Amino acid sequence: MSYTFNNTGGTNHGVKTYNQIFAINRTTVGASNYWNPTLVSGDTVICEMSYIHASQAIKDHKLLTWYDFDQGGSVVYGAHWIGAGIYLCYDSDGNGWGVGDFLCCPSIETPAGAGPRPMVVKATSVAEAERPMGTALEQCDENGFATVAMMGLWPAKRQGSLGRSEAIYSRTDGSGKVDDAPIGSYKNGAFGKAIDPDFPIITSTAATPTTVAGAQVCIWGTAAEVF
Amino acid sequence: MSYQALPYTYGALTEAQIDAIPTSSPKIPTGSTVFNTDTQMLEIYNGRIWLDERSLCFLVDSGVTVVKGNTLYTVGSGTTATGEVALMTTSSTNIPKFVGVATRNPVNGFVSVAHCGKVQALAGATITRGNAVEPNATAGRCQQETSPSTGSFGVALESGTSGNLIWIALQTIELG
Repeated sequence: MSYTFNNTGGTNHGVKTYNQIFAINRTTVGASNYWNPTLVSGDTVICEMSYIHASQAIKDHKLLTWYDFDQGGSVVYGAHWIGAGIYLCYDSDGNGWGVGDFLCCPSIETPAGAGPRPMVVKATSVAEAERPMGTALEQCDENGFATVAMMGLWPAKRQGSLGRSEAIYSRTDGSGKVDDAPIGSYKNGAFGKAIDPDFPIITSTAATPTTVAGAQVCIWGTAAEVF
Repeated sequence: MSYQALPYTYGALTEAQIDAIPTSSPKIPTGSTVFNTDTQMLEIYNGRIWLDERSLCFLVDSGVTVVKGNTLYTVGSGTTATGEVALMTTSSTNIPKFVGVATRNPVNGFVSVAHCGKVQALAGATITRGNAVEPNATAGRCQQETSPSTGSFGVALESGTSGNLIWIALQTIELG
């Protein structure tokens, strides 16, 4: 019997929106998505993604756990929100990335710093875009570690407009955006679909932040199209 | 808040028990949780239906009848695509629009659709465990394919005949 996790769903922090949990302005006083709790490894929250369709709100949720990968030791990996399909990844090419960037497996690099963590980059070639990994949940410094979601519904920066019924792909220009234009032979690299084609991605820490065009995309989670 | 043996709102229940929980009187708070002992997965109530980690909420297209295990695609294309779901067919134009399998019967027009993982799909023909599965001529059902190619979307985990709900490993659909 639990009396500890006394918020909605038996979690520590109840239901919070994606922008309360992950947007880079979430700790700025005055922001509409302000949320800045003191977190302890093992804390839980339910992340809510929502959009309006036919005048009705459609919501999807994920259970997340705050986990200290270093377990109190020297900071190497840090503490992050983790859940099904979320992986702590290594910035392979030293360029870093921002929240909502779409990331792929590097095709040529063999960095030494990744340890057991997956290596990811913003694709700069068809070969990399054909190996889609997922969308960044956190900013990542050069050769740093940050979380990437590789399954389910998550926001991603987009190129142009996305249809709801088309397969989507990573861009190959290093922009970290997704597109519904095929990138190579057949449908190689297709990794999911756009569910909500308009979800602005917050790109500044201001209370009234700047944004870039994004979409809520469903990442299939099993594999990309490879034949 | 939970007073259950597991730290979930409703503890651990079978799927039938979950579906029998009254949702309107009293109204279940969005974010309520339960562990489904049939699927062995946590489910979260989104204010309309229960959803697990492999599933998303979709609105069923007007006039379409969906039941648990139906294979589904999103109707329309390009700017006319609505994001609403209908029964998957063998049409090549629908293959890129495939979204997954209904994990429950719809509630007030909303349905939980699995896009990956282990899920029960409705067979439209005899299926033998280990074979790939693809759309069947009966809309919303699946059949086996011994030479997987365009349209295959998973692997049968058990054998069954037409009308059976069979467990499959749902994977990315082969687009072409």
